[in-house]
Amino acid sequence: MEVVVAVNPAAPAGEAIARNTLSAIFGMRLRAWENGTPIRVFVLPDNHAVHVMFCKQVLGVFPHQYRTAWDRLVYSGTGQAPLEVATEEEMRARLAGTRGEAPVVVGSEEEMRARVAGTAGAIGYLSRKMIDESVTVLAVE
Amino acid sequence: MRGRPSNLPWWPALVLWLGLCRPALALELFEGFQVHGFLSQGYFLTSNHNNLFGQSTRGGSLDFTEIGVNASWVPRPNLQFAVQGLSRRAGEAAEGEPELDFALLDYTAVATEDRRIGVRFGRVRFPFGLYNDTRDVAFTRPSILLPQSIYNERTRELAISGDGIMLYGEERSTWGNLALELGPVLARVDNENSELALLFGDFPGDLENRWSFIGRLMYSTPREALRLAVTGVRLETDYNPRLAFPDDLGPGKDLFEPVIFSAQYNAESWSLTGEYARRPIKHEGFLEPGFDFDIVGESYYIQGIYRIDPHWEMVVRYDVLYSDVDDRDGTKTEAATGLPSHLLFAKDWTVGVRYNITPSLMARAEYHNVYGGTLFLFPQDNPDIFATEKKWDIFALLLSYRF
Repeated sequence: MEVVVAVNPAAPAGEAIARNTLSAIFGMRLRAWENGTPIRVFVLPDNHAVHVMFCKQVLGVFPHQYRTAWDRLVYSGTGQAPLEVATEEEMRARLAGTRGEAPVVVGSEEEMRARVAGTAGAIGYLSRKMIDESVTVLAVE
Repeated sequence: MRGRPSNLPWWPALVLWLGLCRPALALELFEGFQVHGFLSQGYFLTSNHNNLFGQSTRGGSLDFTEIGVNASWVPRPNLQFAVQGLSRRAGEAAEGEPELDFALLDYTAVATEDRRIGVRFGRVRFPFGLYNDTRDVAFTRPSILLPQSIYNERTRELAISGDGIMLYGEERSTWGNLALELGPVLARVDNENSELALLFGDFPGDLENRWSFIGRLMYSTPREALRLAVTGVRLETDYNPRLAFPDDLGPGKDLFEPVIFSAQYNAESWSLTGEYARRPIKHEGFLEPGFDFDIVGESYYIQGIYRIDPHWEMVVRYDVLYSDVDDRDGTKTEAATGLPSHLLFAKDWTVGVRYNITPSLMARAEYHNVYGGTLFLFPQDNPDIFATEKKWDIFALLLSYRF
């Protein structure tokens, strides 16, 4: 499985992103794109295989280190957490609760793609096979 | 002793209900506005007449609850407002009164991928060691009870947060990252616990904070596997007597200047952490014999954490705290004052286990073998200090929910 960085097609991010910049964005230290547009960071749950792979292979840190850093920001008032998209279980539960049609199992990567595609300035990550024309892939330098 | 009906375990039930029925993600009420919080309920059972967080010796105590809610708003990328309220029950020393933990405005003047410079105004959390920034949030602690060598519960009010200005700067490069936080602050000294911690008794007058300073410099390797920090504090407090000596203390001054060295190594499945503090305390002007002193305390711990799988985690720690390096076993103080020598130190072996039920619900159990010393016991929970014993044990359980 290959994990790639995905951004909203309108995000002023160019075609490639430096690893340092990516690390600053997911560390919630860099909050705006170069033209000043706010960056909206989406992540999958800590234990999600794609999240684990993104942390370890793309950013070179362990998921527990990011969790520690985000918690420090949130509970000391010095920053904000990234937006976590729903887990598969929650998506299932949500869909199972809707009346009428048979529930469709929707993976949280679909949710990630939809949120990145639908939010101005958004950045997230997906396994390569999930990429479609609704999001733009950034190469990591 | 309060046989309060609130000791009935409805808090744990609430935590469980929230955790299982509301596996909520952080609330983003509108763009840039987030709400987070936590709720923890602890159970403490101790031995040998030593009470920790309530009457914990017979049947244990549920007098330990931590509740916090915060809101943050980022109207523009370089501006953040954040506020957090807390309510904490911890035996006789904290009875759940709401407190304003932080309320600040954060302005980032420079933000690039490898540099950040800014300032926070208002009530800010004190950057102190590795765990103080979020010490009330069970999810961020390594154990139910933080290592008392560095994060003594009795000095919590002094260490937690205060009003002032905090400058911060971060620089990232190929050789690693440097982060500095530094500023003048007014600590929260006007409360009974701070008076007991600084003056060892509740006297008629009041403590008054003077402008104090706190600073922390942290270095981490590029991927933050190794983190090294040094924290320096200069905490100055005046005592304003209400009555004339000898019915009250004299108009004394307390100067507390701890320096803390911190180190942590993070691997994927384990972390090794150690912190060491030297804590000089100087009292002058109190007039009362024995109150004007100049002593140096010393404390340290070493701790290993092993993450077995995403659900289970274990912790082992050795934790030592001396209030006076010239009287480590307290015998000089005992000879001079008649007070039990074990009031002056604490040595604690801890083993604990954490189980992540869901990402937002967590349970913990731990055992402490305090093989000497009672320095972190609250006098309010142990009104007869002569009834306390040198060697004792703690068994603790905790259930915590966060969003």
